Amino acid sequence: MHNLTEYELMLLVKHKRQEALSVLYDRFASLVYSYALRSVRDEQAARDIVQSVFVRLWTTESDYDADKGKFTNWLITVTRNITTDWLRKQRRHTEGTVAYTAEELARIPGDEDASPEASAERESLKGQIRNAYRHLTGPQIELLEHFYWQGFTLRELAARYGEPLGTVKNRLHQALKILRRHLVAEGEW
Amino acid sequence: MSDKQEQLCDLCLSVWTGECSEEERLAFERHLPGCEACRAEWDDLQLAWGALYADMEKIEPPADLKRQVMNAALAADKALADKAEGAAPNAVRWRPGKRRAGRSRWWAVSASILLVLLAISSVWNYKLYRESGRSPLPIERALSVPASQVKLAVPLRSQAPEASQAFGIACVVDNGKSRQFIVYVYGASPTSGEEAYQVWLLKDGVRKSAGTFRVADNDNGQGLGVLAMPIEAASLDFDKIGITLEPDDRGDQPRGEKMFGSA
Repeated sequence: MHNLTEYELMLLVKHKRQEALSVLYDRFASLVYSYALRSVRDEQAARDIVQSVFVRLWTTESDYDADKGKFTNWLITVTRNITTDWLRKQRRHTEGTVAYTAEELARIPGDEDASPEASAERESLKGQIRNAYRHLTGPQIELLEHFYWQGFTLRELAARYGEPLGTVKNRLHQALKILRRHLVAEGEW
Repeated sequence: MSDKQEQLCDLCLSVWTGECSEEERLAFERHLPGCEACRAEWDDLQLAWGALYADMEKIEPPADLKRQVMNAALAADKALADKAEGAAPNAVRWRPGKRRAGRSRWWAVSASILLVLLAISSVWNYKLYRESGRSPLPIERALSVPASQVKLAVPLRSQAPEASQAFGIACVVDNGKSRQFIVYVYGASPTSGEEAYQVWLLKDGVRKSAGTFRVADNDNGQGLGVLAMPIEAASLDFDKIGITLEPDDRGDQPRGEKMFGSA
């Protein structure tokens, strides 16, 4: 079972083979947990999100279609949807935001690229995205944090920044274009 | 490029982020296959967006989370099965009181009874799913169990010269929710007293008991014996199967004569 592809494991999951879910958990729990924790920054909430993601894999009617892309991307989409729902619910309760401090935002691009560890990391997708982030402006990074990681809509962000929707949309477009230019190829985290 | 085409091209990001109307999305989906620039743009968005998640530290989840998740998956199955079977018989109907003052008292009583029923049902459900983790679902819950399929079948030949017509089969039956190891023998000599047939799985020269069964003397001489054992591990690994006739059903090593064996 450990040699099976994610597509094959998902087929077994559809047939309610618990071992298949167990193998998927072993392979991807850290990805889902890391994503959730990065997004919500609350251990208990991150646990709940991991549980929701794997329960959804177990009970879902929607299929993972291997022709439409990598399993990791599909799983991240599922995770992001669940995380965004959680964040939006939280915001309805608190009417607040999970604010990033200026130091946290400044730390994102990273400047430790002289070390051997950093050069190895650059070969990975994580290294690539971090390298690409260095080409973004502060407002572009802030927008990605709010839009991608905290699940705000562009309309909400336009109101929050006091800017026209078109301006915010254009900023996101530019940010993604810059990132695309600096990503060499697809890789794994 | 016409103005209309350009307007459609401008929709790319809005459609990508889902911040557009249904009409705009459909219009763009019709436009996309024929517009090379938009297809390239779409692929670029996909690549950049698909890499964003990688900007995070890898953190291992707490060790106990896996058990919680697997239990939650099982519980979700139960909830779905219960939902499919219809509402649980928790609702207790109460006749509305004639007086207003009486109504709140009845509400309090019915709410308390509902709470007690809910608590009992939760304990019962918890017990059910604890048990279901260990053993196959019972026949009463057959609607929640997918079709069984034989995953492995091993013929068993009689090893006793006096019962040369006897034969058997051992198989692994899987219904997607649970697996069982099942052995049938026909034409076996009836057991008497404490005697029992014992099934042994041989792996790398080591014999392990797979269970015991008895053969009654009152089945019109068919000598029918059955063993059914749930399988917990991911795989049931063995080289050969042997069945001995033992003086009782408590031995952990073969003591009696070998009666059946796989090839």
